[in-house]
Amino acid sequence: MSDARIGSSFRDPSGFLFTRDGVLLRQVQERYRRHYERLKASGLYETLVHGGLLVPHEERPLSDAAEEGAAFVLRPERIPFISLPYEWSFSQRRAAAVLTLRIQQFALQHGMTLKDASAFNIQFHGVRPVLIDTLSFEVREPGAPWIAYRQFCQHFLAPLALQARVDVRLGQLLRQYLDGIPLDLAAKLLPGGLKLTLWQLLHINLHARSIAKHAATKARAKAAKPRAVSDRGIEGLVSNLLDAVAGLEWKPEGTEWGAYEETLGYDRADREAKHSVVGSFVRESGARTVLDLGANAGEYSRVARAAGAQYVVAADGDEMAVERGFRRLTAEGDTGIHPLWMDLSNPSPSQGWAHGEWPSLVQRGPFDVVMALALVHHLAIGNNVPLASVASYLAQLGRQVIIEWVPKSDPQVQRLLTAREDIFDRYTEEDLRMAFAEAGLDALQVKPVGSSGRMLYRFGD
Amino acid sequence: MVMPPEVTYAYLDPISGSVILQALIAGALGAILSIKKVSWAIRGYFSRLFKRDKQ
Repeated sequence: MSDARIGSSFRDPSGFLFTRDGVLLRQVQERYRRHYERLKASGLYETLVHGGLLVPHEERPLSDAAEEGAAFVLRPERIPFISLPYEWSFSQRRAAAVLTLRIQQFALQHGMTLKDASAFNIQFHGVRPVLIDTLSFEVREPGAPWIAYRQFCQHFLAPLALQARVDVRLGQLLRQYLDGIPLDLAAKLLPGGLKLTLWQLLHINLHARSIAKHAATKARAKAAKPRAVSDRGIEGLVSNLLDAVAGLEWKPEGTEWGAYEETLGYDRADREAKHSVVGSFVRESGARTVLDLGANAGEYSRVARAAGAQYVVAADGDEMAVERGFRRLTAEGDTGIHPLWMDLSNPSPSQGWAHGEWPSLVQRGPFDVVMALALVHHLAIGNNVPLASVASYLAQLGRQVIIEWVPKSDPQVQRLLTAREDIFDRYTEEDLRMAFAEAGLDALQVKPVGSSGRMLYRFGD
Repeated sequence: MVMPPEVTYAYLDPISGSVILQALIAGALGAILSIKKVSWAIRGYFSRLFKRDKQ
C-alpha cells in the first residue's frame, strides 16, 4: 500500500488529496470538521450534488486516512481527464465562472460561503463543469467579506473580459499567471474611456487601485478592522459579477481553422471513407480513452465515440475550432468529449511550484489511442519537427497511435511549401514507419483514404 | 466591526485593498439587487394578472 499525495493539494490546510492503489481519496483534517459537518447538515452538499454542480463523494472509514489529524476520509468520484484553465476556450471559461458564482449563491442561501474561487477547482466532465473541491466551503460569519472576491476577479472576470473585449488570445496569460491575471495588468490592457463599463470600473479598475493603495504596511494596519459586509451586500456583489460574466460574449471572426470542416480537405466520398476507416481502427484498437490531437471542432472525436470510446479529449490549437466544438457539444449534451485548447507545437508543461502542481499533457496520459489525423505535416513541415521526434512524442501520449499521413504531393502540404524551400527530404511514408518502429510501435493496419492519396495508419505493439 | 476570528483561518490572503473595496461597493450593489427584485416581483405580478385576464 503506497500513498501518493496530489501535487497541487498543499495550499489549503483543511485537507489534501492522495491516491492509494489507484484510488483517489481526500483526507479532511480535524480543523475543517465544523465546516464539513455544516456542508452536509445544511443540505448544501445534497443540493449541489443533485444539481450536478459539485462532484459527489462517498465517506470512507477513518482507518483509510493517510496520516494523523483526519476528521473524515472521502472518496470523490473521479473526473476522467483533468484540464487546466489555460486549456479552455472562451465559453468553457465562462461556463466555469458562472458555475462558481451559482455555487456561491447556493452557499450563501445555506449560511456558507466559498472560501476560494480558483479556476483550477472547476473541472469538466465532457462539456459539463463541476466543482471538484469539496473543502471550498466554510461557515459564513455574519458581516464577513467574501475572501475569494479578488481570486474570482483574477481567475475568471479579468481573463474573460480581456478575451471578449481585447483579444481572445489573452486567455493564454493564465499559463503564466497561475493565480489569475493581476488586476492592474488587466486594467492596463482593457479599454477605458467611453468603453468602460460599470462592472469593469468596480471589479477591475478600482479593485486594482484599491489593492495598490492599501499594499503599504501603514495602510495594512489601518485596514485590520474593515467594515462589515451584509448578506444583502454579498448577494448584490455576486449577482453583479454574474451579470457581468454572463454578458461577456466573444464574437469570433474567421480564424484560420474555424471553417476548416466546411471549406477544406475532402470531397464527399473521401470524407466518408475517412470516417469509416477511422471508426474501424478505433473499434479494433478497443480504445476506451482517446486523445484526438488537431481535432478541430471534434468531427472525428465523434467518430471515435461512436466506435466505442468512452471518453475523448479533443485538442486543437485554434480557439475558434475549440469554441465551436464546445458550443455544439453543449447543445447536443454529449459529456463524453472534452474540447481542449492547446498549441500542439508547445503542449502544456508541468507547472507551478517545484514543477509539481499541475501535470503536463504527457503526465495526464497515456491514452489508449492518440489520433493525429492530418496533423503530422503541420508539425513536420509547418514546425520543422523531425518525424522521429513526432513519433516518439505520440508514443508517450498513447499506447496506440492512429495517423493520417498526408503525402508531399497533397495540396495541403504544397500550400505549406509555397513560400519556402523544400528541405524535407525525409518526409516520406517510409520515414514515418521507421520513426514509429524506433519508438517501439509497428504498423498494425494501413488503409488508403478513398482516392485522396492520403493513408491511415494504426500503430501499436 | 472586527473581522470574525474564523476568517483568519482562511488560507487565502484576503488582501486589504480588495476587502476594503468590497465593503465599499457591496452596499450599493446589494441595494441595486433589492430594487431589481422588487421590479421582478411587480412585473411578475402584472404578467400573471394579465394572463389571468386573457383566460
